Amino acid sequence: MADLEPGQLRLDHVSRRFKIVHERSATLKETVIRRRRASYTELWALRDVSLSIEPGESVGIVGRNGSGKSTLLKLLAGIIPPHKGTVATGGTVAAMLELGAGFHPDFSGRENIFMNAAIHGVSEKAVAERLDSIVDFAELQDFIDMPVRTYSSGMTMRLAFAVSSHVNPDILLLDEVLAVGDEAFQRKCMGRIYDFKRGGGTLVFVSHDPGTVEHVCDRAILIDGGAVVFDGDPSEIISRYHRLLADEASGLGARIDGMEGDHEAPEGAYDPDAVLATDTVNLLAARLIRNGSATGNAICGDDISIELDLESSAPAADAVVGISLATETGMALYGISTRHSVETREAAGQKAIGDALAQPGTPVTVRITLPALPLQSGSVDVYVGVSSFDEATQYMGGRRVLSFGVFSEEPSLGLVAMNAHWEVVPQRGSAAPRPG
Amino acid sequence: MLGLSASGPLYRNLVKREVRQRYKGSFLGLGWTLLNPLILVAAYSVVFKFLFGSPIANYALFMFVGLIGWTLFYGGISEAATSLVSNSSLVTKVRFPREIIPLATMTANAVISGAMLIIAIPLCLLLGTGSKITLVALPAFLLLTLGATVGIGLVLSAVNVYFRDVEHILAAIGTPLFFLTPIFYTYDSLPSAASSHQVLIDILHWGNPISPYVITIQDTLFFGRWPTLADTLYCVIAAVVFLLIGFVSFRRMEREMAVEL
Repeated sequence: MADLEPGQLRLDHVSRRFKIVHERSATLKETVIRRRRASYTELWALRDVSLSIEPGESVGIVGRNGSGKSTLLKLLAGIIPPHKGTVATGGTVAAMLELGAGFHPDFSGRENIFMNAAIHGVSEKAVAERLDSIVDFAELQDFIDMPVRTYSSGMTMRLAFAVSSHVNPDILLLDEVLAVGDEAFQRKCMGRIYDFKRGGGTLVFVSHDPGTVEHVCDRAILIDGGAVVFDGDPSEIISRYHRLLADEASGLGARIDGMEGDHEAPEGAYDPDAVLATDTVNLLAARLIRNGSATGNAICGDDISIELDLESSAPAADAVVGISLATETGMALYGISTRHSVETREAAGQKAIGDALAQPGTPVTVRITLPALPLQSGSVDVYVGVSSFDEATQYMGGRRVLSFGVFSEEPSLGLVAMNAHWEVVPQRGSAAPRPG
Repeated sequence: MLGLSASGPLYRNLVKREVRQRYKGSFLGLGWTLLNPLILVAAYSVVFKFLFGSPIANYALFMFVGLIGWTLFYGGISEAATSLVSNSSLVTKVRFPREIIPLATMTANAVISGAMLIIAIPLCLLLGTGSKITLVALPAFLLLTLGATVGIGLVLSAVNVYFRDVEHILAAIGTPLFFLTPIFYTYDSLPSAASSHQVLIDILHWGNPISPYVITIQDTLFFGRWPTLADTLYCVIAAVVFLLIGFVSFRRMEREMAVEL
């Protein structure tokens, strides 16, 4: 293959698989005892991806969790090799897959700057020249000789981004690192990234937030199931991404596969170690319903409902259905089960679901209605689980069953739409001017 | 090899960090490097010099010299074995030639052995009864020891990524191996009963890769005599073979490391 000029990236029919080992054996005893029983499934994280990125381009890679976007970035960074095809990069590559990789807590900020820059191949002399600029950017002038373990997480992050952004590579690979830090610092990081772009550097930026990609990049790539499904103008990426999520929700909803491995159910959803897991109840499909039809998106304030098609393979008369909504980062927004819900916890309501699931082989549809959706713009993941009434037996393990996008017409901050109401009121006790 | 030269800054920083990290926060700091072997030497002197009556003159110094070879070799390979696993955040997040990590760890260990050497050399010159000229061969034998250490250390560090058993095995064989290496005895200072076990002694001499390296260091530094041709040849050939196996097998195992860690 011909040498690439600095800043060029080439992926030629690249595939990469992973082994999902079910029993991780990492100690002597476990290895000896379990060696022959170590079972695994193979998972193709990327299938036959060909991609060509030219110097100076800034490319955003968008995809759901488990779509293969982080694998793609690791391949570009040269951290893992492909199983098929070739990956070639021209010039120097700096990967920011994790801010502060290699920071040692016992060493001072200054020592860690040298170490971290050395990781990216920057010589001591070059670091010494940029030291003041790095310290200024991180706003750590008074703390630079203190051990990093005494830093707050915000300070550590600032230091890490400051070092990484002073490496000046031909190609910069970023993985969601901008999702951290306070808003002022995020803006500063953005400024740094724009500077890098203006300087002619090639930027590859992975995100599950298509909005950021639209701002930062001049080319967007959508990845799903390990393949490129869209490659083009960033202005189209938001609608493409939400259409993908909508397709997933309306067409057989429950895409429950091993690729969701990096997506854990929110805290409190279920504790896999404490309960007896059976597969008594199966989820056939999950749908988001708005205005009477299946959809992938909702607008703030909509009445929405979620329909679950369930089928039991054995009588499950004491079944409790639980549902929880969480942000893409796993923060729980709302969760409720038929055992705790005021409406169903009385014997009658709970019994209706139990009776329905007591008939093996007969599909049942359970609908959960959520009136006047009080959420701001963003992506919402829905998790569902089914257990016995005492929660000692798990009829269906908690799992993500669908995702949907929420759009809000009001550009307000936060997760919750509180429908603020504004007015001017007369001051108490004073003669306020009155009209007329 | 191409990427290795570009990783100079990383290598230097890692060595610096390894050396400083080892005793960071302790009151005596690098002093422990010397205190540790001195305590060991004191205890062994009591047992083997005074209770068992070893015929070796300057017994404490003799054992200290042997410990330098042992620390350089066994200390190096056992530190190297765990190096990739304990630096997994680097291996999984950044691209660089991964041999930098075990190499830096072993270099740091060599620096610490060097501190012991600085004490041992003047003492040997002062108290030594043999020829002083053999000291010129010492650097060559230290380098050969380092070569064999690097070769074995590279293999162990890479294998330990896939099978964490390696670090447990190394911990388990440490003390037995120490006894089977001629550090607190020489093969010709053994009690007369040992002479009927010549085959066993040969196995211990040539079957334990650490023995010839420790013996040649003792010869050139402590005894002031030229090492035997057999020992010298063993040291040269084994160092070359281990180095080759080390670098080649490391390259093969390097590819999937980020996935395994």
